[in-house]
Amino acid sequence: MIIEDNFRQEFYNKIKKGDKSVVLIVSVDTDALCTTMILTHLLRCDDIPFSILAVEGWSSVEKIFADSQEQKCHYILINCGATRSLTRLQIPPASIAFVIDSHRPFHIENVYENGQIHLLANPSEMSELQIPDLESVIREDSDDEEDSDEDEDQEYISYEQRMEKIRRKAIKREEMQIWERQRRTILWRYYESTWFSSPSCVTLLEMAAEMNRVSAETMWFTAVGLNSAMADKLISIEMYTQICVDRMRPFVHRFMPKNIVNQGKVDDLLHITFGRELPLALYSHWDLFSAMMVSEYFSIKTKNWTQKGDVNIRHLLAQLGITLHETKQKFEALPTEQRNLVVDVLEKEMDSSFATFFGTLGYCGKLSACDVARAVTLRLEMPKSETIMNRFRSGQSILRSSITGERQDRLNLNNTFTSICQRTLQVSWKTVAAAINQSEIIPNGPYYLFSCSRSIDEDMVDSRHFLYNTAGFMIRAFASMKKGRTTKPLIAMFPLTGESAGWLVVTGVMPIATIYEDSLLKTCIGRAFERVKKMTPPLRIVDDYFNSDIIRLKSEDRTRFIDFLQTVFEGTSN
Amino acid sequence: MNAERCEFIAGNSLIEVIPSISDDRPIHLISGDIGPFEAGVPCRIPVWTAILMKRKHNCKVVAPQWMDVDELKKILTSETESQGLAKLPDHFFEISHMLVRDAREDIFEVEAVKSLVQDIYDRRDAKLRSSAIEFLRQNQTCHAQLDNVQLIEASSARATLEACRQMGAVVRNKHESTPL
Amino acid sequence: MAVTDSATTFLDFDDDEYDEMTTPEEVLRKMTATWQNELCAPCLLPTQMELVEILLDQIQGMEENIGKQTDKMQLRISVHRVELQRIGFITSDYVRCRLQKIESNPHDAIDQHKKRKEEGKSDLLSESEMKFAEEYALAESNLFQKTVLEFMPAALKKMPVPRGDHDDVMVYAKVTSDDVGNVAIPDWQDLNGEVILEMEPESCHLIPFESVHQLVEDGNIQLM
Repeated sequence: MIIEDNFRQEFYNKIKKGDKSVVLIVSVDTDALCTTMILTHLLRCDDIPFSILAVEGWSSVEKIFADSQEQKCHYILINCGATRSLTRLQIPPASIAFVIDSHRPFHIENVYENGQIHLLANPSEMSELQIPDLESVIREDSDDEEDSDEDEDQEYISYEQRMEKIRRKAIKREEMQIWERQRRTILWRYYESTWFSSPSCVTLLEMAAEMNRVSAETMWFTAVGLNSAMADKLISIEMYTQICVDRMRPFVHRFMPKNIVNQGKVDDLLHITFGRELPLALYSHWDLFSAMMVSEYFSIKTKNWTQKGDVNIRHLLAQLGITLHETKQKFEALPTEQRNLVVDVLEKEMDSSFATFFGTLGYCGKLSACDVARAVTLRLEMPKSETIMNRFRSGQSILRSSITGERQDRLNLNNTFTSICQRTLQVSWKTVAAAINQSEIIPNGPYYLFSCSRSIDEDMVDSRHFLYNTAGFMIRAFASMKKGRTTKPLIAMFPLTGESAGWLVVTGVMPIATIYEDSLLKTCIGRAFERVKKMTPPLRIVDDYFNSDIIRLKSEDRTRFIDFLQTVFEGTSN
Repeated sequence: MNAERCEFIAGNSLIEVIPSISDDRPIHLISGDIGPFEAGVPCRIPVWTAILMKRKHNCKVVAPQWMDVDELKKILTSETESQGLAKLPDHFFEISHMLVRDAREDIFEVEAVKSLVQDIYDRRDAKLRSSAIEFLRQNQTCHAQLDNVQLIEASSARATLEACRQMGAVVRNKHESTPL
Repeated sequence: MAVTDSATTFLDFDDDEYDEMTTPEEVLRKMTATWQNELCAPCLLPTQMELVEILLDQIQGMEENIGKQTDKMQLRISVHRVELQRIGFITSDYVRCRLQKIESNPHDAIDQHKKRKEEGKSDLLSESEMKFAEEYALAESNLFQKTVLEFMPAALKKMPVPRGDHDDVMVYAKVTSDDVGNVAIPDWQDLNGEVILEMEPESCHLIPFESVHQLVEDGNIQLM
């Protein structure tokens, strides 16, 4: 069942009062981590013991359930669990699940399972959900069976009566078939596309506020979680801005430095400001030139993957009045005035309305939540050789180090920025550049297909952040080369190496035309993959990811997959 | 005795808090009753309880009177002027440390407070150090009066003192024993 | 759901020492002071196990009370819990400290205990500590016997018992009573002489432990 509001009563207090042990099942993404940080802060305040289990796919959730069939638990599933039926995943019968998940749509069985499963949803998104009525999708289909049994037993009834019965049965069956058909259409429409709702951490922050337990730290966690959704391209800039304006505003003023009576003196408290920021990843921890090279906007504008690219970029810089000298040195090393000037120019050029949160702590430099979100996300997703719990912990420590003044922590964070984050951006750019230069993107009927021929670190290929960003970047870059490339989706395949050699990671992005239209960034790629999986002869597909539009495919089945997908897409468009 | 235990003992001293919750029944602790609490009305409770409640967002801590920049400056001046150790409130350093760590938001100008407390500590430490050297280098008396010394200062000096004693024993042994 | 805390009910002890009514609050205060003294003193001080026992009873009673509570998440419950943990820490740290001292020289502890008994002073060790000391001493001598002494010439087959060397240990002490009077300390300039010191209330001293040993036992001086 869905809980729309009053989460404090309906969710938190129930856990608090309950005698069951509290188990947090946390998906390994930044929003989930931030949500966990807030929730565990609340639980600690109330001395409620809890355990955290990090999960990365449906199979691990299933395993947790299988291992604890006998136990009575309060499961809190964070950013996982809403889109598949938990009943079918064999949730232990004596346990209760609360699902705080930003994946949409909800699985219909989770919605109409009344006692055991509770889905937390925002009241504002209820109309968006368009959940079908109970009667139209679920029906007890036992009574007509009983009827037929009775018929066999009662042999003495007359011919007319028997005919009557048969006729009634036929009508019933026909009604049943019609209902069945309707049901299928309704569900088809309901499940057609997947999208992301507002990040879970925002919901939790609001709940913490209701309990009067918001601190600068929890506010910062929320800022990072919210920005991670933006950096992973899960939510659109419109939705992001709307959340900032509608839901974050009450908190923004609370931790502003000027609100604290401290005439301009630096104290050691964490302060959070909200302000405009260039949508240019990591530039403040890099030099401008490198950051612009790999940024989607500048890269597409200058087509810097072509031979003329370098000239174009110089040309653009000259136009903007920014010297090469300025762009090639570490951004932080520029004098403040010059920095502001350059940022102003670029902001105008990019015509951006992006604003984000900045954390300041004593004399440590200002950090943008957006950059921290990238660092945390990559720490969580790589390297895959680490156990999932270790990655969860290192993500946690990176998140914490953004708000402690400890030297070692800062070094660690900076190291993440300069090594992993920058490298990921560069690999992403190189992949796109190579794809376009070597014409690796081919039109395949109703969609474009990109098959990566270079080998990329397995770590990156398995990271949602990398996949979504690269695919999104690629489709835009591809469209920029020639007119009329905005109406077809792009399917991207990356070969895995190492332990999982022989498998491909497949993902896809919606056509640009629809991306621009839809502020929820709905996608039907996941649905298409699902249908391909159901086709015969069955392909070897593993769809264990919480995001249905990322799957693994056995390399040998590649050609058949491509054909099947074509059939599916042609079927939908007709 | 070490710094942590000093802090533990200091945790029993009373401090004023402004609760944000109400509870009309007092809590009967083994160490005495606390409460009842009424939101917004200050009351005195042990420091450890205050920090516990603070962590639960149940109260605001009212910093002790002496934990004010002007007051601390006065203390620092008197510490500089006086020959011996000046009188300090009980568990001065331990309480400062706990509050700066756990109730940072509730202290006005926390950074200034922190550095003033550190200055006071340094000044006293210097005095104690020089007097310890003075004491150890003489052989007239085995007694020194150190009024107003704080628990934590005595604890931190003990290790040095014990080391010196053992050193003395070694030296004495050397003089007393005859070489083989 | 009224909380009936056992801490409010006054305790009545059978012990002669505690024949007057004592509140748990006072017991705790005394325990804390005793603990602090034990930590700072170079040798074992007379046992105060009765205090530990009373407090352990208190902890148990309070735990039962907490167990009866239905709403375990209230503030008061967690305050009670933390207090129990704090008291638990003091008592076990006290016991731990004493055991360490016994382990460092079990024979001496036993000898001192017997000597005090003969002099009619209060017990140095509690019964269980005495048992521990004896067992430890036995185990230790068995070990030495097996590993070293067996192989020694007959004349050396005996373990000497080292005497505790606390005579010249200096301690920090604070005068807590009003009428402590005078204290004699050894005079370093005249080996047979003594210097008389006046112990003003609230004053702090760096002083040889032996000079104030008795005063600490009487509770007139707090070691720091």
